[in-house]
Amino acid sequence: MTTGSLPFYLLILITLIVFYVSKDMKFKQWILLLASLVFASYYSITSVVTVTLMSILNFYYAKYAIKGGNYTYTKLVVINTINIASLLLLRKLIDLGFNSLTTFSQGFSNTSIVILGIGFYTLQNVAYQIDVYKKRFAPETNLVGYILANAFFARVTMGPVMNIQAFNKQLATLPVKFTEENFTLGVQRILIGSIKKLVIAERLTFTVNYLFDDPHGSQHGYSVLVAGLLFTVQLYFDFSGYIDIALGTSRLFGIQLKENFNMPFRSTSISEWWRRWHITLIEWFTQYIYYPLAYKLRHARTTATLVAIACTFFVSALWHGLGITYIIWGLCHITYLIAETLLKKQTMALQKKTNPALYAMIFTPITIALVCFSHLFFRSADLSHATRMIYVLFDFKNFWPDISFSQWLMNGGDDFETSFNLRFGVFLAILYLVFEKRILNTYSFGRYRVAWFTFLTVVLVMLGVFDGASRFIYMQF
Amino acid sequence: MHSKEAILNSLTQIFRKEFSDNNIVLQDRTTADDIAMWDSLTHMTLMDTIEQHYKINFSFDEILSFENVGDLVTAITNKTAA
Repeated sequence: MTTGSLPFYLLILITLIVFYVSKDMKFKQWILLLASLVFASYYSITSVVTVTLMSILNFYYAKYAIKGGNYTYTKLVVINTINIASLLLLRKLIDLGFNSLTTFSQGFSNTSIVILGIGFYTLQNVAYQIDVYKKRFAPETNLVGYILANAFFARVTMGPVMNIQAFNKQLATLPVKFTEENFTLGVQRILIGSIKKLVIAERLTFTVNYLFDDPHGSQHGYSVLVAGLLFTVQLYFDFSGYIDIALGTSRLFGIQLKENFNMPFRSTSISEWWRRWHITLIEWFTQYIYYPLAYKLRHARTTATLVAIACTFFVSALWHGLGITYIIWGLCHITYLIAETLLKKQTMALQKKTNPALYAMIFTPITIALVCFSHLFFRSADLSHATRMIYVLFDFKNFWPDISFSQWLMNGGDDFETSFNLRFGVFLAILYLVFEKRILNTYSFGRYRVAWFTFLTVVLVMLGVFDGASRFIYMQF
Repeated sequence: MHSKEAILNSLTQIFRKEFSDNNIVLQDRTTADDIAMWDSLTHMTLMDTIEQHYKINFSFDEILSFENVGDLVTAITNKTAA
């Protein structure tokens, strides 16, 4: 049962009925928790046990630590060492084959997804302990709400990351009635997310896997260029599609999660990219790593900023995985951001002098190209494969293929379907990106609602790729 | 003790120098969204300059709680009055 699958929607339907039949707030929370544990148990019992135990541990630890008003720094270090060590240890055990029941079947990584969402809720638990230690919030008093904040089925898989306190605030005011607003906004978001994942991202999967995983996939610079760009587009539609489904599902229960994307392909700099891409994760790293470091070292001026950037993206790389490819991906972004910081005054001066449309026309492609380059490391199975791709990319004598792109692609696909899926997928992706703002702002109430929902459903059913679309790329984190 | 208006004026000079932009005019409601150079990459350096100028110290949570220039002016007023 994955987010967006048929059993997932069956679970939502049953949960929705019981949720809205009941008028009791406590019971509603129990229903959501039960549904969340059923969802996690589909992946493994280890998922259920881990999320429950880590939540109980953090819930009671904060209560114990603050007793007598003395939550010491040592106590904070102890609990967050346990949180982080658990994450690293469990990931390592899984990598070593401790439990290989579920593996990625379509390339990208062999990492098992046995412990669902541990990377995401570990961040939330670490933040919770820091916030209680800093006295920003009082410890939570509702254990069910605490476990639910970590295990909530709509977002446990891949976020968005959200403070436990902010999530639990909403649990106190869960809706009694199923309102038209929650229904309309929820269903619309689920349909848009499903279209992003099943109609667009899935059409690009075969080509991306061929380009990255097949030894014949990237033999000349042009194909590496296409690989980097296609993977970035696929990742965006896959991940933001999941987030749309998560936001829409939560909305059906009257819970509003934080937005995680804001049209990243319109960024004109890397720092802007990170304000628009995986927003909740970068906000977490900014709040709990970047700013504290930049604050402590602030008298060192620009050096402080550069050190804080380096540490933040190094930790971010480690959070994604312990592999060298993630570390180099992090190093790429550290380099980009350091260069941007050092050249900020010059780029700002240029921006002021240049027509905004012209500036965007020049700097948006540069930004996307830099991100795509870093994704060559992020997506490659190992360092030798990534370095081979980089070598091929800059081997200008061998940049263009001898045969047409379609013919070359056919070697990987051996049928017309692959070529069609790629072309149609790219066409739909461009179409979506051009009208993205308008699509996301179309809140259809009143008489056009039925027509709008019918249109989205027809697009999904007629154009969706339903074979093997059972995994999202970011699930492994 | 500095008056609110005097603080706003001297902050304007600090912002102009820090961001090399003589067109900056601060108001209470000015936020980071209004000044292109003012973002997470430059925020702490700016705060350090302000601290040095007024010989005061902001706590970490204080710095993160400033939502606009007005909040910053209030914090400086309180600290310089003490």
